[in-house]
Amino acid sequence: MLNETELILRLMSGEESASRELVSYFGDRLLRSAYGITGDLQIAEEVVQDTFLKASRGLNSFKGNSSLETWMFRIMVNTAKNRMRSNWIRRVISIDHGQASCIPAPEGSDPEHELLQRERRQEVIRCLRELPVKYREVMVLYYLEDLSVRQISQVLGQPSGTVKSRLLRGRDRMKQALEGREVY
Amino acid sequence: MSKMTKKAGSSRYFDKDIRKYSDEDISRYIKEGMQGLNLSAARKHVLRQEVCFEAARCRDGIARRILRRVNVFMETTFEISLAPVVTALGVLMVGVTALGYGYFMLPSETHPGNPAGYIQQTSINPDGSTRIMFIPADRRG
Repeated sequence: MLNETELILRLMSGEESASRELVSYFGDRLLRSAYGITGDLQIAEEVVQDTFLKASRGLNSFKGNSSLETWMFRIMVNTAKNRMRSNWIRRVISIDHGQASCIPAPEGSDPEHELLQRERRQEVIRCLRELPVKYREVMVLYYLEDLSVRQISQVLGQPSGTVKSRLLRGRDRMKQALEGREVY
Repeated sequence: MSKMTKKAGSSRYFDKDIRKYSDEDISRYIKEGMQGLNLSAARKHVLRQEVCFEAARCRDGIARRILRRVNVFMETTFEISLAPVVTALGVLMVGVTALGYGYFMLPSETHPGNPAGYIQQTSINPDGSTRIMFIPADRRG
């Protein structure tokens, strides 16, 4: 279990192990969520990097009103949305639809399994990208990160009721998107 | 037949058709899709370094910010305490100088009954020295 206050104090005191812990704890989770929201791996990696930079710079401003997790995800979601608002980013996304296949396979993994996993990932991303961002972010935070409605409401700065209705609509739309897929 | 069904597009990698299921299945669908997606070790290393660097800058920033606040406080105190005094002194000096102007009628040395007029100018210098001058203005006879 992550002791947030202690971790922040250690980060502030310049302990290297604290930065390692922070990146280990949040790095992969933020990447997956950012990828789910942006639908682009390269942008997701940049979003994660920006998130860590912003969080490190703003350690002083972390008041502890919310959990570190909520705070980190709030930074990530805002950064991701800002990146997607950019015209340049939009153009990149629209050109490249198959970036998930660029994810390097870990050493020693089964190539067939890896290929299958990539296809799955692309499929999920395609499905998520059919949803508007406001539904996508809620779906990712709820179903992928297992954040509660209350936590998501803190992350997004939206009332719980709004989060619930977006979840409901997001799920419906996702089902519609899945139903609309071609049959193999 | 493998465990995976191949009858419907997006659900072809899963045991059951995702469309028939709700929360847990959607969660599983997304989670399984994102499985294995991790930051590379090199990327994590860079991130750790950046976090360390930025946190250090942030820490230095606190010290710098305190120092800046002290400086601002000192400057503000200095300016507030001295500037109005200097200004007030300046105003006072101008006032004294102005008030120092006067017109004097003195009896003429050579022609009694014909007074001579002098403009009196009193100036007080910042070093405290005082100078009084009488400038002849009207000397008849």
